[in-house]
Amino acid sequence: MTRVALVIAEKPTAAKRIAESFAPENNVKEIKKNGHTYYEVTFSGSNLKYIILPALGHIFSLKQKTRSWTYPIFDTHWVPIYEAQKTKSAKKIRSLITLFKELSQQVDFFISACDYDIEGSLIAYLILKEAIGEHAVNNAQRAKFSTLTKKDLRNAFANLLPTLNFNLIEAGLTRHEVDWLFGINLTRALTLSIKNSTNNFKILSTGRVQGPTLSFIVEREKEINTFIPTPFWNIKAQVIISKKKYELTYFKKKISSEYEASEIVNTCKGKNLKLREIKEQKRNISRPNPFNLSKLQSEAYRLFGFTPSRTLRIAESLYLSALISYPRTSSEKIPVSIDIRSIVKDLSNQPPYADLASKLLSKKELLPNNGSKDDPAHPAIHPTGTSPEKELRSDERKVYDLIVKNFLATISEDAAIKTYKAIFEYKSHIFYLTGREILNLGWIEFYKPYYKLDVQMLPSLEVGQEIPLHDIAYSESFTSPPPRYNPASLLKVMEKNELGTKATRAGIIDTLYKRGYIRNNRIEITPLASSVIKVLETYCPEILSPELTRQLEQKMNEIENGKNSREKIIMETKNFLTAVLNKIKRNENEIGTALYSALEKYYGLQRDLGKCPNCSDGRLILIKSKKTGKRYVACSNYFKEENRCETILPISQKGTIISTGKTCTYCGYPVVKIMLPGKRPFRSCLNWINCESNKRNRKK
Amino acid sequence: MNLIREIVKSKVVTAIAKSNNNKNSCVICGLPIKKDNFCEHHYSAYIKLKEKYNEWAKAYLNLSFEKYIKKVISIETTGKWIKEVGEYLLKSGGVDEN
Repeated sequence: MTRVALVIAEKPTAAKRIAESFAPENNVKEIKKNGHTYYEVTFSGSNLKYIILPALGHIFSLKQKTRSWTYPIFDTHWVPIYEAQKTKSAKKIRSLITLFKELSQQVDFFISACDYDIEGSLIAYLILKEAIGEHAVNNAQRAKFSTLTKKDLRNAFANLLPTLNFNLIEAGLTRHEVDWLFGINLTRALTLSIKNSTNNFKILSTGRVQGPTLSFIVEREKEINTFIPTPFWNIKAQVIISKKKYELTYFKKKISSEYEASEIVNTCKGKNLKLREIKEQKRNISRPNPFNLSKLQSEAYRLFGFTPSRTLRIAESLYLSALISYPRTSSEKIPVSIDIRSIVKDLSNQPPYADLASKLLSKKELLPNNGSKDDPAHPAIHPTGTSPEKELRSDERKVYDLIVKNFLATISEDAAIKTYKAIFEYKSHIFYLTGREILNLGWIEFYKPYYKLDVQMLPSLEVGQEIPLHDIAYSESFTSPPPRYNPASLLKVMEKNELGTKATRAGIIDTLYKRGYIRNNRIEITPLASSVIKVLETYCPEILSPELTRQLEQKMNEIENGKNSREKIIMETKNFLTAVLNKIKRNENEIGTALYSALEKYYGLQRDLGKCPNCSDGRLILIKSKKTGKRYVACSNYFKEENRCETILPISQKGTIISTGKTCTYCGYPVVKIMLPGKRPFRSCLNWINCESNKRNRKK
Repeated sequence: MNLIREIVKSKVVTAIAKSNNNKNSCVICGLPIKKDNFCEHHYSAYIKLKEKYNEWAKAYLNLSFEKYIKKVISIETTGKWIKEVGEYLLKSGGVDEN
């Protein structure tokens, strides 16, 4: 008799890959029903059949049991996602759940084939439990794979784990519930404090990790705002050897007083320097470690300017195309179980990597330079060797190339360089002339063009030789403030302080941008965030504490290892929140008033697009008509009865409009940045209809 | 150097006190006062500005407090709150006679 299994995949692309991995030896049938595609795989030579149906990511969500809009709210349950939040795909999810129920009637057992991590485990578990029933949970096996290649998938299905990974599921349930409890209760507490104290309803969202992350940015902003540069002086000296100029560096890099710097220059000017010795040193430059997600995100930001969330999206798409391994990993290790040689061999069939791969194939051993970080679920990010089936998008190609080259570099060999330091002296003053020679390019050859190493050869010199100082001068410099965070460096700080997980950090940074708490690539805190943080620091500093958040993260991680329990952590969370929420309630008036004034200021600043060029004191304000709901721009003096300014301008009805602080050189109207959904942001002057610059652009 | 510091402090504080109209709000931004008529942020900038003077005086020799402030606020990378306090001190005469 044929045994039938319902295989739950995480996404439609993954389901297709799983199904195709069993072809052509077995019969794979694609079936379309109610707008969904699923696959039937009938195995030849055995009485086994798989029905592979994909989820659409999470299709269940937490919802409060009661209907009140108050706090604290501690009673939750899992419901189909369309019951908890407005979603465009409600109809699709409803029919998908029905299909899961329907197909489950004809099967003997279940297989979770979602990504092997917390979210993937939870997606399949919730479908089994909430859509099918508790019996399905106990009758389910787990497929564990790190790439969507035919080989890995077949191997995973041939070696199914006998049960679901309940530790991962518990960790997922806990994380979702804790985040939900924090988000819903704190957001409501802050929003209701505004409503109850000012009678205005404005939602002010916050979450468990957002506050502590913001507090890091606020702290950096304070350092930058109170930064006083320290003056110092550099000595710049030049010698001419064999008709070529060489820059020397003075042994003290920073001279702390102008007097001392001028004394050095006056003493050494026009004098001969004597070469005391030439020091040589051989040094190895280690190969890079294989990428984990955060290292990939930080390199993609450094090299291409991609935000961490964009890199993650691209990496996921490369994973779904079976080109790379699972990207949500903390591991910097490629285990011995992965056949590196065969991957390199496959890469040698891809023209851009053919030469590099061939060089490596001639090596006896191919060992990666594994890092210290590990992840029990997945290895470090590496290419699968599979050639792209279709042409990759430009950003996908960049990230793929980076991953392949990191992989080739990590299995190549260390680079070796020789550094030279010629030490010149005049009395007690010492000057250096440095050079560098590459002995073995090693991994740098494989990681080109992402790493550069300059070569500087020393001229021919003899110890004891005297060389006249051609030029010497001092220059004033100042120390620099600490740099602002960018999305990649903020992500690193979050990782270092264990805020969020590898999968959630990039999204949290995006949320801070979306909620108007931070702006720009070199991250600046907005007045809104400053005010919110100030209020929270005063009345409930514990929700901003990175230390408390880190401890909670650690406890949740312990669940993954079976060392802590969901009940205990949820109880602790409820106790913590009860205390915080009581504090907010007690200080509702002060908190609400302060937050409302911050919001007013924020929205006021948001609407203010710049100075009106047609009157002396007017500002051009973005206004939404209460009658028509349409947006337009008008001078703040437009509504005055006396000295009225008639300036009124049309503006795009969609997207976000931000003042740039600049004025048009043609017409003098403010220039704004317009960000339309799904399109590249562009700048335009508010007088775009009549402005000469726009007319010229249109003609072009 | 201690004497200079004392003089600086007394002059600055007097100048601030003279020009402060609203006794409960920061003379620069209007936020509630922490100390010496400055809010928390501007007070911390004010303290840093005073503390750093010694280092600058040593670096340039014979640098007056006024010249120090002028030089500090002219540097692009100087912090915003420091610049605001510096400009305020110059405007209010908090750096005279030094």
